[in-house]
Amino acid sequence: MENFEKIINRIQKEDIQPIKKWVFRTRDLFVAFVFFTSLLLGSISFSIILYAIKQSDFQIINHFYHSKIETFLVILPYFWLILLLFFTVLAFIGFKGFKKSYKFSFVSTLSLNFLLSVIIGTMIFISGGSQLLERKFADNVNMYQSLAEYKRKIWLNPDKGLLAGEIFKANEKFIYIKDFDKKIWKINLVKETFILPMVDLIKGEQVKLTGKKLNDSTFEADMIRPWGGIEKIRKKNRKN
Amino acid sequence: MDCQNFSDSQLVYKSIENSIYFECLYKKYEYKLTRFVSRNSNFGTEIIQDILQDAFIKIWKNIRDFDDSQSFSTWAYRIVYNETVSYWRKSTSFGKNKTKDISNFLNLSAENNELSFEKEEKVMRIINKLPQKYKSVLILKYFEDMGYEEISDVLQIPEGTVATHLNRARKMFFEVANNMNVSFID
Repeated sequence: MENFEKIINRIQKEDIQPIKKWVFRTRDLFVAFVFFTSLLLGSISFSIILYAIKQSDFQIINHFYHSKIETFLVILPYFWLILLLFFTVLAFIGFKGFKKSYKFSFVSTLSLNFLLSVIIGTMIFISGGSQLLERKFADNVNMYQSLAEYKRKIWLNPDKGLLAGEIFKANEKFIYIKDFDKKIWKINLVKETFILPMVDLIKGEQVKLTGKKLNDSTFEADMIRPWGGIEKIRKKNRKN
Repeated sequence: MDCQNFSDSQLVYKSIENSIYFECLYKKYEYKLTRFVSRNSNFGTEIIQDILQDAFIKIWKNIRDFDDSQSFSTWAYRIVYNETVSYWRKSTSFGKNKTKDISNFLNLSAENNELSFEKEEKVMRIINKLPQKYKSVLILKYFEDMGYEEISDVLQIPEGTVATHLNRARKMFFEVANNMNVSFID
């Protein structure tokens, strides 16, 4: 029996039919969906990392003279970094599902995916979308600790020389602040205390301080900065 | 039935409507693909026929996925190549009882190959010593006369990788030839 006869016999005996066109279309659509969705979610993750960097006070690293790397590692936005990695890999897998994807090497495919996430993520960040998305995420996911909460937590560490809160009374030598746990602190202003020019030591101003804890309710400040960081400075400049 | 009047793409679309045209495609590529599998493996005639059967059943099942922006030939080579690799992986006694008869192989390739039997036998002895990835690119390039793009489509690797594999394969080919004391000077 000729080989082709065997093929035809098998096709007839096992009733092998060509797979329907829509199956291939659905597969292609699914691949495209996985790729583009992962790319978008990876980009959002990247944009929130940028927002986290903007929010984070990387200057506090300098405050911890003995554990700069440790501090740096503590304030990294791991959750979003892991999400970025996860979606980059998922986008890579999705991309590999495209018919001509083998034309690109492993390194160029992965780099291309990452680069696209960086570009789109930066655009989301610049347009202000990352803050909005992060807030939405924090509101809707119970387990998630928002970057704002995380920032507050970091700055509620008087034992490590970090404190933040709202000024409710001030004079030349002292200020009194209410931290985010509603605890009252007396802050000693000494000769060496550096107060950033954009900080107004007036009631209602939110500030963050580095220095040292003297006792359970007294803190000596090395530096006083606005709580809102760069954003706050910009707002003030706009007002002026 | 006159298959000559139709292009490969036309035959593919006609096959969907009438499986008789599928035979045209098979007949057209049977010899080339048999020779390709034979050169790429040490399988005997029966296994090569099984590989072609399985490959053409796959082609039949996936015929609606055929992309006419590429040639049917490249698509068929790719499916046959993947099937060969899959058989090779499944085969535990590979290279023992199932090895081909070299004289069968030479008879198959005698019709339209420019190499003399003796020379081709020498070349194949060397090529068979190379790792599979190098063996495949050499066969596709020098025996199947394919360009980098086609090889890339068949093996599903980037064209740059095809070029790298070819370079390494050529070097390794001559190293093995030297070690085996094989000379190609007539």
